[in-house]
Amino acid sequence: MGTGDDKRYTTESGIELKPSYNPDDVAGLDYERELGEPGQAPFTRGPYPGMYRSRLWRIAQLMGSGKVEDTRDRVTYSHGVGGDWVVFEPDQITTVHMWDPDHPEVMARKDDVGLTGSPILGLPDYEVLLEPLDLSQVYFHMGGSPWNNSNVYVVAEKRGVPLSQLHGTGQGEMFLPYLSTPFKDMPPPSCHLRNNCDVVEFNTRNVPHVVPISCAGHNARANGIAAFEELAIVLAWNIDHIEYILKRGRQKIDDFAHALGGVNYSIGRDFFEEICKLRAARRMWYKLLKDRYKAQDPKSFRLRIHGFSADRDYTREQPLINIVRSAYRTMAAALGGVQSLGIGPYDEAITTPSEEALLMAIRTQQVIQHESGIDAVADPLAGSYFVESLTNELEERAWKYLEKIEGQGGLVKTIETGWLHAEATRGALEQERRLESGERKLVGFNCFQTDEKVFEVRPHRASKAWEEAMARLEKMRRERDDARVAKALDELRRVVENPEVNQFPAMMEAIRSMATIGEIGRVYRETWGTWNAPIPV
Amino acid sequence: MDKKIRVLIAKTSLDGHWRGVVTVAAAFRNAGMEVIYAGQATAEQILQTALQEDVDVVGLNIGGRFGHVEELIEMLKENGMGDLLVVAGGPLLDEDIPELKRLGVAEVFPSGSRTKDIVAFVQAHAPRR
Repeated sequence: MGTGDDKRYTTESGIELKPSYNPDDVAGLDYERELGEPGQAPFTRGPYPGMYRSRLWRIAQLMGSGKVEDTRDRVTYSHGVGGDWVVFEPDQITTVHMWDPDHPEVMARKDDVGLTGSPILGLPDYEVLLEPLDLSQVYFHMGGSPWNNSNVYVVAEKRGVPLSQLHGTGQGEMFLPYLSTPFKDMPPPSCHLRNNCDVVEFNTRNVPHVVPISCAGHNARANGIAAFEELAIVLAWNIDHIEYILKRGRQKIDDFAHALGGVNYSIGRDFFEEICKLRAARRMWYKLLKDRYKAQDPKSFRLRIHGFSADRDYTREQPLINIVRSAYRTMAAALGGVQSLGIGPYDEAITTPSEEALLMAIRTQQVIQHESGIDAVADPLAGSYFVESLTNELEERAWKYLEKIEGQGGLVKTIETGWLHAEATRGALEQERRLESGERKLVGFNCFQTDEKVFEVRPHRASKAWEEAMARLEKMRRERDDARVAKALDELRRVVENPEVNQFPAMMEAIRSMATIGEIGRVYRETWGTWNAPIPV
Repeated sequence: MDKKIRVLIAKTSLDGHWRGVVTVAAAFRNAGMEVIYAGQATAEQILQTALQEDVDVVGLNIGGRFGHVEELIEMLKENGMGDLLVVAGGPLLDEDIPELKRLGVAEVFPSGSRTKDIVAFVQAHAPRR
């Protein structure tokens, strides 16, 4: 009998694997220094001692499309069936691009408005979205921009809910808008960095339970970045923020490190590699904060992870198979110790998810949470020769990749120069080559295909939203005090021009005055100019 | 010697996903074609680029609804470019493919299509000019 060693096995990121592992592979492993107990330095084994005994991971599905009311109702529905997140996907054409519905770029594509999120234009829309919610009792996933956050804060203020009673995690990361799905004519990445640092400063001082921003490695992975590269770029992104805030000089490392230590990692198809990656991520964060930044507050060292799984490997073919894919990724995320998780609904490769597909994603997570026994023991794979060895290998490769990025001046620089886009493209093209050649198996796509259509899904169709958005825009313009809006926008422009000033007070007043998203976007663009991603076509 | 097939790739919506775009563009280049990328463009911008670059093929990445596809195909006809080969790809539903073909899209390659099939179709159907 052969041992099969004629075939080379590698992880998804290209790490060669042996047929089995033994004590020699972890010979130098120092338990106290490299692992520690869950909830203790270096946090490899999890950020909290009790892990899922203390609190299960949050079921954190993304949602939103069509009219603002459609998104509000979807969130209410999700809560009713056990979803833990309040998230409002913004329409890409209007809200994300910071254009009002009557902007020429939007007018050229009216029908697309609402397709991938709801057109949220300002305070009145946020009041509709938040209407059914007790703000102090829910967990928000805010967009993470000064504008997103300020809208929620102004609604809270109007309802008399102290900002200290809000809970949630923002996003505000850069891989979505600048790398994986770059928006058109956006403010340059360096201005996004400044925006984020304003959010970090404002939240750490005023909204202590809302993690201000969260770097989403997922968005880079979906474009072809490998697992150990993802470890490095998420860390590099955080380093850029740390350096910016320290340079401003108003906060010390322990004032804000915990606010950057909530990140998003992709959970892809390679079961063990993803588990090990999450373990390595926590240890690397600890080392960075301890060794480089000399942080002292225990809170600064504790990395919390949101897992997200929706990638090239969810198939359009035989789409219900995607439930199985998302289920085992849920297992990987749990074994890796995530604090929240969103998984790709089964119809994600076909359409904006339907209500049924959302329900299945939530049920999938609930089955694993409540039936598998996975909640009982923290980091159950610790000590496995293979898992520890792969965790070490990923970490080692990630530090090397980080050196490459820092050698170029940091993460933002690698986005500005297009280096990161080229890296992602290299990965994506290689993955496609392997998929088309059949070397990389994907059930239903390049093996185990069927001639007849099986596991069909009913595609969700988002309702068109432009006309309603336009009507709401006109109502906002009609009902507001124009002098107050003009004054608020002038003040916003003044603070945006000055990188030393935190823009939050001015942004909140602009929102109170009922300035629209397009007016705020115009202030940004006129002050900072625009940037378009160097797509390596 | 035949002149190289010139392909213009553009996104009809503002959606920014480009993984599909670079994948298809690389396949066209590897097959000896020339590729021009117009990015997230309106029908008017696509038309202007097609005219300036004298392309043979327009490849649309569709991440939205089809209003501007219809508009673009009308514009191409009005500007004497009705013989251009128009193909489309993206996260498209099977049930929407007949509608795109009715509008004048020669073939539709929804996500999951093989690049070799896309290249073969374009090689077989690009106008010889």
